[in-house]
Amino acid sequence: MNEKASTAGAASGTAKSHGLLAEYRTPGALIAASKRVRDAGYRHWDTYTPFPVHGIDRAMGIKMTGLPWIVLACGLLGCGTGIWLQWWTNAVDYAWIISGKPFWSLPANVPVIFELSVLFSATGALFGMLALNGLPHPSHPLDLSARFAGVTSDKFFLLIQSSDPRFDERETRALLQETEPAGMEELPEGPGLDDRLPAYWTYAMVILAVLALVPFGLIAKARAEKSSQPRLHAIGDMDWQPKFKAQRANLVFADHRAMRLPVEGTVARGELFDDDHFYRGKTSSGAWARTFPKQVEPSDELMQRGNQRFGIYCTPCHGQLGDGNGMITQRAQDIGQVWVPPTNIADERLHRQPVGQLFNTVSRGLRNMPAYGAQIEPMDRWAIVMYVRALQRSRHANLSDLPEADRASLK
Amino acid sequence: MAIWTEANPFLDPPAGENSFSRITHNVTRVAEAEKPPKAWFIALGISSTMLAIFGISIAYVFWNGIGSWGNMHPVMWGFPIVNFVFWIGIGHAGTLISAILFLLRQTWRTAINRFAEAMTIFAVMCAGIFPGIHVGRPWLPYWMFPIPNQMSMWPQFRSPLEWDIFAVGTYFTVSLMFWFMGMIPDLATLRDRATSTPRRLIYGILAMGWRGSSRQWHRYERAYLILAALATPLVLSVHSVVSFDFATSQLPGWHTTIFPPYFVAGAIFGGFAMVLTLAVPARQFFGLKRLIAIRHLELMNKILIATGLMVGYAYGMEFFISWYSGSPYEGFAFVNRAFGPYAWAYWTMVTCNVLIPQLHWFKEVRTNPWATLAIGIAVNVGMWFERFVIICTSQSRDFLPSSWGYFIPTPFDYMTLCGSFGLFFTLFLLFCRYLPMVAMAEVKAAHPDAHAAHAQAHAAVTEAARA
Amino acid sequence: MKSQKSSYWRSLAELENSAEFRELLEREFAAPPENVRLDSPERRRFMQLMGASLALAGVTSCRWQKDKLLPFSQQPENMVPGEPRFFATSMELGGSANGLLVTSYDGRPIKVEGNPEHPSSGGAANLFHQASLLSLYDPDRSESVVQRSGGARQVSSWDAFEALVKERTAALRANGGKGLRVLAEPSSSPSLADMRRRLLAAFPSAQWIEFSTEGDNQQAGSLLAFGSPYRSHPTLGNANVVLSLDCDLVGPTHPFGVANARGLVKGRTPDSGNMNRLYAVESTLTLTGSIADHRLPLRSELVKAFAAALDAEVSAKVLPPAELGPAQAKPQANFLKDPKVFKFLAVLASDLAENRGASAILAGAHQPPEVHALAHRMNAVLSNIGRTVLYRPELNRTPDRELESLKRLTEEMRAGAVDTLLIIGANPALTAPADLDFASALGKVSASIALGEYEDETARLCNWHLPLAHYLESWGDARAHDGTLSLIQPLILPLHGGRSALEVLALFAGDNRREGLDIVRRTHAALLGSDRAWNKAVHDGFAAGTTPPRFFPTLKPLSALQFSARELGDSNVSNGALELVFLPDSKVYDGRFANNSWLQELADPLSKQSWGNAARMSPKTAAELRVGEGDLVQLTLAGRSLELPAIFTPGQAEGTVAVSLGYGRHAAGHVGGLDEAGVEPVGANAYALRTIEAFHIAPSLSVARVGGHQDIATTQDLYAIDPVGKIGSEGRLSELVREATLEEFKKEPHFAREAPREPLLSLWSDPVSYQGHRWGMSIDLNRCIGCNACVVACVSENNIPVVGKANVIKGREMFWLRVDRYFKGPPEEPQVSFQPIPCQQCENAPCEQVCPVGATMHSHEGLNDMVYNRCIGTRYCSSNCPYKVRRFNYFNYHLDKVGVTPFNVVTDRKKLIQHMAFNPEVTVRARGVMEKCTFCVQRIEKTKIKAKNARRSIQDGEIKTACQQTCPTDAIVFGDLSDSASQVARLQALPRAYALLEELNNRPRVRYLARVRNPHPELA
Repeated sequence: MNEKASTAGAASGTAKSHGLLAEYRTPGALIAASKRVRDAGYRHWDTYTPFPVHGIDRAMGIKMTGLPWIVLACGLLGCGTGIWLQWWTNAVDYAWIISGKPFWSLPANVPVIFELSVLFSATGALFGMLALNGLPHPSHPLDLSARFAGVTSDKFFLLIQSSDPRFDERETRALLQETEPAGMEELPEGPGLDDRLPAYWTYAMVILAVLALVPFGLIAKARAEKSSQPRLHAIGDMDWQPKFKAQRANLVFADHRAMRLPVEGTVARGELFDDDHFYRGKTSSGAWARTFPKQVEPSDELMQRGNQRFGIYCTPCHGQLGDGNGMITQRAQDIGQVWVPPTNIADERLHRQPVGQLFNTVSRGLRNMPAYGAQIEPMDRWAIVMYVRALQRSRHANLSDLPEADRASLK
Repeated sequence: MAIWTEANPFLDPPAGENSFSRITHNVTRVAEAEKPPKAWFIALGISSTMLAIFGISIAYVFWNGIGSWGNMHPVMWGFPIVNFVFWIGIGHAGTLISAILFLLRQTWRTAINRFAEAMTIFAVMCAGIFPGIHVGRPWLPYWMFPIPNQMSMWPQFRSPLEWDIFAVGTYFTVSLMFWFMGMIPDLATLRDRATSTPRRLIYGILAMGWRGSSRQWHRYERAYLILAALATPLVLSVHSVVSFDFATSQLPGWHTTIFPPYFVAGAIFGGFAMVLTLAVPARQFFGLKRLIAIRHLELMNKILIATGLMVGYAYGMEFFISWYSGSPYEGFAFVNRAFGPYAWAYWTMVTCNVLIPQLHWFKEVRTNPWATLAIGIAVNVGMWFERFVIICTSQSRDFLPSSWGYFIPTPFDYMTLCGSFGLFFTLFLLFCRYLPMVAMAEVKAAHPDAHAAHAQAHAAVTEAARA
Repeated sequence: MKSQKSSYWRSLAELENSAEFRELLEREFAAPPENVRLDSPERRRFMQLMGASLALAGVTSCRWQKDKLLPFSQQPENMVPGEPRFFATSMELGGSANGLLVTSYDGRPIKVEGNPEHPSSGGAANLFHQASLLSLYDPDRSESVVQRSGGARQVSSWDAFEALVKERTAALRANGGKGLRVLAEPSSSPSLADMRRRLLAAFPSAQWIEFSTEGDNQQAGSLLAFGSPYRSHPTLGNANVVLSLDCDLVGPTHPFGVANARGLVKGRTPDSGNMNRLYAVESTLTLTGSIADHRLPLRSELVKAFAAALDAEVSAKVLPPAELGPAQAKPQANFLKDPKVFKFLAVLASDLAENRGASAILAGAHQPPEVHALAHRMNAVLSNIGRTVLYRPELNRTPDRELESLKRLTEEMRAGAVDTLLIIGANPALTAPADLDFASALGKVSASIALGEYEDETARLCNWHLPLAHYLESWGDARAHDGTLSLIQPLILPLHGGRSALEVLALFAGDNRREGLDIVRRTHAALLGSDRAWNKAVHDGFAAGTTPPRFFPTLKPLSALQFSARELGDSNVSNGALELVFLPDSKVYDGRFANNSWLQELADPLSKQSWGNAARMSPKTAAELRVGEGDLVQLTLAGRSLELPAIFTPGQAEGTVAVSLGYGRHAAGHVGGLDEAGVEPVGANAYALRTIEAFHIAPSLSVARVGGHQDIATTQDLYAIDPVGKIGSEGRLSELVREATLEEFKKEPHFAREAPREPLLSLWSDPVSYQGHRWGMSIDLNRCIGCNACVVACVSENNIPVVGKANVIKGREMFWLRVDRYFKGPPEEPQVSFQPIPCQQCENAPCEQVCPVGATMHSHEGLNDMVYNRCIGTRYCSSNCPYKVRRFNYFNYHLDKVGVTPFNVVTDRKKLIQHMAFNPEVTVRARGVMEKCTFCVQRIEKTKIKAKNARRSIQDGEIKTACQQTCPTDAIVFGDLSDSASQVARLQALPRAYALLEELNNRPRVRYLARVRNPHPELA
């Protein structure tokens, strides 16, 4: 053992020394030695044992650690998190009425608060300990010592580092000799981690690191580019239900429409429509009605309504003035379409038509003109008819039609 | 301390031998052996087969809907939740042994705490699976976590299930940290003894460069103490929270204030039973007879009697309270347990949990490993049935007689149940093979030689003890 | 798949001739839908499921589904997509029409409800009417004309059939229709009668045979009593005392059930103090018996003697005028001397006599004509005629007895005298008496034509099968219970190109009118000639003012009746001489609804059995026979035997076994039983025991245990449960269902009010004070007759899945609304209570606080909302619900698929047809989510929107939940509690109102009104 030590010492002559390592047989011896080294006033030194040796802290003069404070801080943080999380989610961000309970009632929240406090403190305890101990600590000059490997089984060591200001090759060695170590050696400054790792291990690490990036790459790609297909949707649950909402498809029918036409001759509730005058513009004799039905009392509102509806449904073809020169007509002429221009509403023939017939035209359509029955309420149709009448009148108006007061303004 | 002196001769060093190295050698040889005993392979074969069954049954149920299980209306919960509560309970003994006994300075725990903790971890893993797979849409349980999402949907924190999420999650994390931290020095031992590079690397990484510096030991012990102190209230809270699932609801037979202590006692009871069930074969097959001594088994058996009596007391108290409450529904719930269609389950429970453990009053029983094993298994069965009785029997007959029903499990229920044992034992066997099964550092620290400084005092104590 | 795109509206000929179409039909028939498999528990099936699910995984895509919108190029007037419209129509069952109002969504009928103006309906519809919607969309309905020659089935066409009719009628015209027979069910349809006249005019020597499973004893009884056939119906609203002689007068199987229930309950309002008294004398416990104030269990065969004795007693008390003829002599029967019966009879007689002109006596359809005659006579004696019992001449039916004419027909068929047989609607191969062996006789007919909705037992034996149009697909007419003319208008064009009976008959009669509409209009040309009048009638669903005037028939003296020893109850009724009673089923009627899964899954109101029938016997009789519940027994009757499980029905008369008809079908469909698809029949076919002699009531039944046990799918505990459970449930019954007699109620009106225990106190103050609407419901247990109509209405409105027998046995039925049935007292004379249980919408809902993801929470109107999309299925809410009203989707029931919800487009034609029955306004729930009654929130929201648009407030009664809407007795009332004037608020304020389990401090929004019985003081 001694020659081993000396060889180590020789080696130390060449390499820079890290410190002096002494081995002891029993914890007792180690404690005794520690007392000596402590009293000698060394600061950069430590002892190494397979298990926590009782009383060594005092022997080495180790001060109480600050770990408990870290844990306390974490615990308080956890408690706060618990309170905030539950209060924010259930009482503020999305307040629910649950079983007639207040939005914020502490008792129900105590368990989670408690658990979070414990969780945070425990995490603090472990990682605080690791951090304070500077772990993980892969490589250390001690690893070079063959003998030191026994420290995790049954050996006890004491190391004084050369970095200690009071470290002096000869004196320190002498000091340790006095503590009757089972052996002693001089530690050279250890090499770094990289030299001690086998090559394949390094490669493996690199490859893993690269692979770890792949998912992020894919996500980035997905975010960047556009996809023509609808989005991925793994589990449908109730997103597509086997029912037929309005106007949906149903392959059962030839036209693939789930919507069916009502059967000829059936009468739905509230759709008796037995008032021919109002709903069809006909008199009981079957002739076109020349008067408005009784439900339609001429009024300013009704005229306004008619004006508005006319603007929505009629002007595109017939134009604002009903002279058959709407946007569509103009456009059709521009692009030289074959186009039957809409009738001029002010036309004499139409002027002579009974209101019932006009109503019928609006409802059922005529030649190119589609039927508007499905889109416009009967009353609105009558309103339109009334407005059309007014239009016609205005187109064929002469001065005498104006009230006295307004005539002046034209002059 | 006293225990050790009486403990086994093996640890008192024969002349010229170093007892620390003996301990090291004795524990590590299991992990370092070229090939483990045949028994290990057989056990692993069986348990991994069961694990496969677990996987298959879960996959099937996932695909077809949980109607594949026997769950019905009104017994909406059935086996999955029974298993969940059962496994959580098993976990508790581990934490209890490692944390509470540590705080109580019961150094004999060092013989068993390591794999008791391992048992906790694996049991909680088994438990954690069930709440996930038992829901109707098993692809959505993550909605129970407070994750911000476009549905502006938060969990509902008034729900005991939500408390479970946090309690069980915390419990698992903390147990894991506690377990791992305890293992760091021993992993270092394995690292330093490793012969092959892979072993050195893996153990090396796990040991994180632990070298047993006293300055580190100082903080380490402090942290360990704190973790123990935290784990103790935690372990009590977890099963209380689990019991809230039932205690806070209105169902007759669930709506009971006695549940938290009753569940905790039951958990410790069942947990210790499981420790024994594992310890006896382990010491047998891995030659740890002298580390895990009869003495330890006996101590645990005593705890078994104590907790068993507590559970028995709870059973009795439930009946009394249900009568005392004056609610006919409560009263009926318990009469129905004992004499209704599920009476068989109830009496199985009582026999296994209250009657059989009484055998431990006899010293020759509680010092006989195989008797211990048998009784341990009986208690495990009984504790499973306790959960079955609480959940299924109560649900099967509640307020309105019109909605009563009788729950009959399907093959998939049984597959999932035995499958979960497969997961548990597989993990446990792997642990035995590759990790230090006994906390070496702690055992050494508790060893007389570790206290040479106080050799005198120690000797005196020994004298006292002998006298 | 091309074939699935094959159109319906392309010319049928082309379609039918295409090979792909035939191949399609074959395939469709070959493959049973998976829901059938889902039900079956055994391993093999599980493997099938696995296979299916894997296959499924193959075809699904993981992409979001695109959805097409297909508007009309020319939208018809007054039809807004997605805006429901309502059409009045009628459904005829048992020879009487009920007026209906059908909701049409985008031109598809999606919900059937009662027509409020219609005299029979009054807004109510029974479970058959409700469920008829599902039959319309039944994928098993026959899709084409089918020709069979030598057992070879071949898809044919209407053209081909018309060709056949041409040559046939040519031949028939020559011999005046000799050899032409038409077999039809009796109907009240004037048009059908008119068609019959025309047919018989064209073929003088042809014959029209009527046959129904309920028989024509009623008519025969009227012949006996008055000498000519009259139709009678009660107006129970004016009656103080009602006696049912083995007649389930409020039951769904009674043709006037809805009207009767409405009338009966009108006179049972304890709050206003007027309570009529209902007596029931019956062998088998019926709904009528369960709501009766006094019920006497009596073997059906003894009712005749009982009626005679009653006639004697009553006449003795009333001393009727001589022209009514002498009363019956009181029969010397021992059972009448039994003190219990004796007292019952005496009290009943005096009670009737005291209420002359205000009492009604009704006899059951399966009772012999004599009993009906006696009932008529007693009504005359008590001068009820024209007051509580109204008569009108029979216009439609043929005078001859059904069974005789059917017998004659079969003989003719055997003799080969029939060359053309047209069977309309009926299914005689199944329903005809077994001893006639109608099936084999069919083989002798050269041209046998079956017109039916399904290719059923009869159709499979005929040369020709014609698809019959569903009533929602065709024009027609019928008469209401009081004779009012009701019209039937189609809601949709025939899905499968079917035709109505009228149209087919028109073909035969060589009528110039071929379209249903024209035919019906012609029939009523006189009355509804003008378009205006016609449209009005169609719009209303009936022709106002067509109710026949009151009519007073003259009673003809009734000769003294003869009684056999059995009828006097003298012979013993030990095994071998037991009585067997055949009854129409409360769910599948006579078997015509056997393929309707809503009805199959429904639980019988009393036995609570779903998916099947059983031999109903009293526990005592069962004990004597050493039969346990669920044991397989063999019923043997005159050499014919039948195996089915036994079930205990308390209240069943000793020595009587009752079986319901319509089960055990082999050609019903994929639900009710279909041999070629490997779908076992549901239940056992009781027709196999039915003979001409023993058509309704059979003596000499022997019951033998054959060993073996069958799980009976019940939705509530069987009668026989363990003693602990029995004690436990009986103990709490008085708290759950609170009842009192009228006297007690008058003394202590608040008897139901006080909670049995102090309610728990709340730690909390409400987070919200429910301003605005506070929706609530009141359920009057005094009005509820347990008829199940509300349950089916709920199923239809809310897309509630059917889970199948195996899952019902597991207790996984999904019905949101259930009607609980409880028995009290001795099993011989039990008191029955019904209690409908919807979600109670607790204000402090226990289900909410336990949901970890907030999938169920409270609305500001106090509704306990269920958010399906948010539910992950922990099932904790259901565990914590004291009423157990929450239902869980253990499988993908709706999609008939296992596995996670599929995302592939459904292309299976039959499934698409099925899916048309879904209410588009309600979520179709997928697997793994919880669901429950929502108070029909979709209706609430719709009305709120409507009111908001019109800038008005919601009127009371404007929102009706589906269950409330269809309830014939208005037992369920829904409304806004914050409006103190609303009906529901007033009802909840009644002293009879109480909350279920209120001591739990759940504060339910549903209140029950306690039931009040009105026993006769001397019998109480």
